[in-house]
Order: sequence, then structure tokens, then C-alpha cells
Amino acid sequence: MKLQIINLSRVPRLIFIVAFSIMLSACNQSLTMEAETDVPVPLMSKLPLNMAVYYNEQFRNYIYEENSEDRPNWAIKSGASMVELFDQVLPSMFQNIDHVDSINANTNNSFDGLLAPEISEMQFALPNETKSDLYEVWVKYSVKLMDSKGELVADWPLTGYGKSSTEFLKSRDKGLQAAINSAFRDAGAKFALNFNRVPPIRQWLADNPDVCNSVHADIC
Amino acid sequence: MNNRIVTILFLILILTGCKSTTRIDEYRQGPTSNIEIGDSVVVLGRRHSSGHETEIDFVSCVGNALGGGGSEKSIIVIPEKDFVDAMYPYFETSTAPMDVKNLDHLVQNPAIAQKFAEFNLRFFIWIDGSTETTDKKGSISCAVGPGGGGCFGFATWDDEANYEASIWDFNTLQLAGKISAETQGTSYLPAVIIPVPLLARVQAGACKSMAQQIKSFLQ
Repeated sequence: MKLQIINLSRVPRLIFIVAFSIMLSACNQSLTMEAETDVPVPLMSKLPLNMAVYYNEQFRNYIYEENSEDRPNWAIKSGASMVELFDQVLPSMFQNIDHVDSINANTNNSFDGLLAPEISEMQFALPNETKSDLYEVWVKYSVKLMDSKGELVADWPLTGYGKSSTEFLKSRDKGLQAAINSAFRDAGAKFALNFNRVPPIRQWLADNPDVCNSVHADIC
Repeated sequence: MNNRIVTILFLILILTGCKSTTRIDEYRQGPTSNIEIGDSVVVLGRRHSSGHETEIDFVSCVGNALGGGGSEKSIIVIPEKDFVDAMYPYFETSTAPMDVKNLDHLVQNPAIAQKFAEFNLRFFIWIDGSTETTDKKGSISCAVGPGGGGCFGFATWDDEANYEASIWDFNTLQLAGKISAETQGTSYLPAVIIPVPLLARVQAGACKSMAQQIKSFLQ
């Protein structure tokens, strides 16, 4: 049997080195993370429409970047999560939804309409900046709707807001992640519930006989 | 002799120091029929205020206390996350009904009405409030060196928990009543080399008292 001898005189030095390393890492303000989304399937009655969705390259690969004194080397990859959000919500709203690779893909009546969400901006607020106990996130989109001839029906802003409270031993990354997910959920909920309340879209829907003969007849 | 006095003082501090007091108020809108076997309730937190948000763990604490015990008097409680996910997008922070009258509008949607029926929902319990530290006194200094470390000092702080539960009766689509819980307590942290926290369990006290009152309200 092999005996291990520990030099006890080294133990305080080890504790000191570990504590010093923790202190140094705690001061590191840089941030690289990939936003995650956990949006449930919406409970909706589908509109009887054959729709297309187009995500432009900036949307699909969106990274929030900032390099300031308070936020050095911040990079939050959000594109994949935003695509995931709309891919989760849209199939519950429409009878059929297809991805297309151009915003002009709907000029020959292939679809009843084409949706093109674009990211306008993301904003973050940390507890030490707002003197509150909350991580806060705002995400602002601009959503375009084109009709079956490719003409613009509406271009409306969609804002999602999310917050997450600071809890004991909750890291900054986890706090931000929870607030981002909450903002995505909020944006998805507002999109699903307010789509047919936007006046030009409501008019566009009311002009469609399939919609007027469905459970959504109240729109007409 | 001195050691004995210090020990006695320390024990008195433990026994009396972390005492918290709770005040419960109940308001009943009118005669409410009791919850029946098989009926379920959902406990939800209000998070629309910019200044605070009802803590997830407080809401789950009340839910667990209502549904716990496994006795015939325990109530079927739908977990908040399960309910909000199943009802997405109607019960998100920005889209949830703020008034019981809005429930009437929601149940006109057949998909929502069916989901409520699947849950066998009888009561919605909306909790609004938070626990906050209202005052802090004292200080503790800690030092770490190659030879070791330790803390010395004394700190104390006051916590206040303020919560209000609004109970909506799904059968009558009316407000059944409101229950509010207000708990105050002081925590102490003496430190002689090692800090010894003597915590007043303010939030836990408010949770327990509120759950008991809701239980008696519903049964």
C-alpha cells in the first residue's frame, strides 16, 4: 500500500492561490455566450393560410457585440435562438409555413403571404447599472408582411422584454440567459396575439375568403 | 464565569433575535362554495411591476404547501411553469389577464376552454409581492493571508415580506377574495473568526402563513 504524504505547510499557500484566482476571474467583465430559447408551442387556432418565412443573413447570424469600458468584449450569439423562436411560433399560427431564401420569393402567388422578421436592436441592463435586483433584456424586431404578389402589407415593430432576478450564487451569465429567454418568450407571445390586431394585417386577413369562412370569421 | 455569561447571552440572542412576526388579512368577496375533490388550483406570480417581481420560489413554496401532505385535505395544485407553458402565450407576464373579467374573454376561445377543462381548474391564485431588506446595520471585516484567514464584527438586517393573493373563482368568473401576508424579521451575523448567520426566515414564514390561510379559505 502506497502512502501519500501531504506537506501541510503548503495548504495555506494553495488556499491563497485559489482565492486569488477566484478574485481575478470575478473581475473579468468580458462575455461570450450563446443565447438559448425555451419557448413552448403556442396554443392557437391556425389561420387557414399558406405562408412563407424569410430570415435574412443578419437575422440568422445575429451577434450582439459591445466593447466598452463597462462591457469589454461582449459577444452574445442570438441568431440561431431567434430563428428557433419564430420556427416554434409560426407553425402554430398558420396552416402551412415554408422557409424561403429570398424576400422576393413570393411574386408568383406561391404563398398567401411572406413574413420577414428583422432584428432592429438588443439592449441589456445589469443590476449594478440600474441599482435594482434585476437583469433586463429588450429585443426589438421589425416584421414585414408581403402579400401574394410580393407587395408590402405591413412593417411593424415588435418588442420583447424579459427580466430575471439576481439570486444568491446566480452568475451574471445565468441571469442574462434567463432574461434573454424571457424576452424571446415575450416577443413570441406578442407576435402570436397581436398579429391580427395590426390594422393593415387585419384588413389583409379580412379580404381573404378562407379566413372569413374559418373560426377566425370575427376578423371579417 | 465569563464564558458562561457569553454562552447564555449568545443563546438568548439565538432564541429571541431571529424572531419574525406575521400579520394575515383576509377579505372575502361573498359566499364561496368550497373546493371539491378532483378540482385543481393554480398558483401564479405577478411579475408586471418594474420595481419587483414575485419570486418563483415563493410561488412554488405556496403551491407545495397547499398541495403537500398527501392527506385527503390536500389540494391538487398545478405547478406554475407547467400551467404557463401549456397556456402559452396567454399567461406570460405581459399578456396575462389582470382582471377576473378578462378570463371570460379567454374562455370564449375553444382551445383555451378545453385546456382549462383538462386541468379541471377551479381557482386561480395570483400572488403579488416580494421580500426586501429594509435596513442594515453593523459591519464585518474579513482578511485572508498566507497564514490563514478570519472575520470579525457584527451585522444585522431587517427583512420584510409583503404578499397579496387574489383568488379568482373559475366557476363564477368572479373574485372570490384576497389574502395578504406581511412578515417582518431581523437577522444577525456575529463573526469571531467564523461568521455565524442567525437568519430570520421571513419569506418562509409568509409562505407558510399564507398557504394555511388560503387552504382554510378554499376548504
